[in-house]
Amino acid sequence: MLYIIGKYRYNNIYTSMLYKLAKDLVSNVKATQLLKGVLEGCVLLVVLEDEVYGYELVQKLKTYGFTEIVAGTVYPLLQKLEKQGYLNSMMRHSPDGPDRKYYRITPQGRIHCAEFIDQWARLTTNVDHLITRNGGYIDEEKE
Amino acid sequence: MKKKNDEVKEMIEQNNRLRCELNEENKAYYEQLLLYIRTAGIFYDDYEVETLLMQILQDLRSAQNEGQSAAVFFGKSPQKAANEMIGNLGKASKIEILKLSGLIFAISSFFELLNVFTSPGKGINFIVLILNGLLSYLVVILIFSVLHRTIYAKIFKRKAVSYLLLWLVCCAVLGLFVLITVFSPDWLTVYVPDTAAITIISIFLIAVIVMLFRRKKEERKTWWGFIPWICIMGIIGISLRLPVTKEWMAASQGKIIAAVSIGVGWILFWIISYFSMREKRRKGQTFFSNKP
Repeated sequence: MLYIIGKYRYNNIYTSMLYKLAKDLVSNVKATQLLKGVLEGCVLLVVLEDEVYGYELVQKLKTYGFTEIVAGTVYPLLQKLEKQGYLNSMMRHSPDGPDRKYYRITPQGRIHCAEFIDQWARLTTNVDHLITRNGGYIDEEKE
Repeated sequence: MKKKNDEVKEMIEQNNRLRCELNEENKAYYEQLLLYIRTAGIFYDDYEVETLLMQILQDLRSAQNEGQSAAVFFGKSPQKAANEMIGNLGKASKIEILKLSGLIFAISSFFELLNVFTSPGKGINFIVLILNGLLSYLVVILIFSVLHRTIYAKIFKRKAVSYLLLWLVCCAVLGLFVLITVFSPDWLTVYVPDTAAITIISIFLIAVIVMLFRRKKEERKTWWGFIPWICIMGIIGISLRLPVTKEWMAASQGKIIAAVSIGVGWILFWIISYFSMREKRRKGQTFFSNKP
């Protein structure tokens, strides 16, 4: 009985922690290095599917759950990723005006993305571990 | 190199046009951002700056079409985002830097040379030229820096204070220019003989007129005002050195007439410029425009 209740509590707490982490990640303008790195990885993951331009990328991130994300966070990120060689940009003709800058991933970008997935897996494993070590409880209440 | 320059020019013009499509609120937001990034420094790569600005503008247009305001789309901290983006910009190439520095030096020297050629008995003091160039360079950086900081800064408690400060700074700068002219030693001065001076002035006048007519009609409008003024200065300069009118010009009557003519030249400059620029201002094509 206690075990079932414990597991239920653990799931709830885990998801709410993850949700809070995600919310902080996208809405916290003063993002820490860790959070910024995660966002970089997410951008690479989105560009992995298809080349994008700025506005498109912001919209895509929003549909993937990053509802609070703003272009002011994304643009510097795109710039940085391009400078580091993980993204390539090219101008494409657009129907409603001048050329737009499209970003696509480079081979180094793919490698970096794979490394990110690795790191994320390790991170989540570690965090999971810590949570289960505590029996899934984060409050003092004991049955 | 020339192709890139033309592209940059075209992008700026496109930017001016597309900006009119933004509504008032978004336009204000974007123009603040635009000015902030453009005044970040004089040595950033123009092409990168303008491509970045164009990107942002296009995305703002798309956002506006979807009903999103610029603040919602771009975020509530445009200054922070801008600082990051500026940090990622590349510097201008060595040639561009040289061209820019050369331009600043040339313009500052122009005024000093103008001075020399329209007053009797003066020589070209190279120390003055160099010092003027350096000071002009500092002034340009100062102007950009001040503009840059005031875009997202809190307004002074009283507007009067900031105007007073501006006036003081202008006085200080002008004062420095005067001090340079007054106190520079004569070591590197070159005295230009009369006939040579006349030749130089004549060539210069012809060159100016030729350059004016080589420009396209639109561009010409900005420069019309200078013609009467330059011609008057040129005539004064020549008459100061022609053996026929030399004595008369140096006398008090000649000086008064010279001074009045220069004044007239100034007035004509303002009048002509006002009318020429009126149409441009109406179309909102000036640099700091706020209304479509």
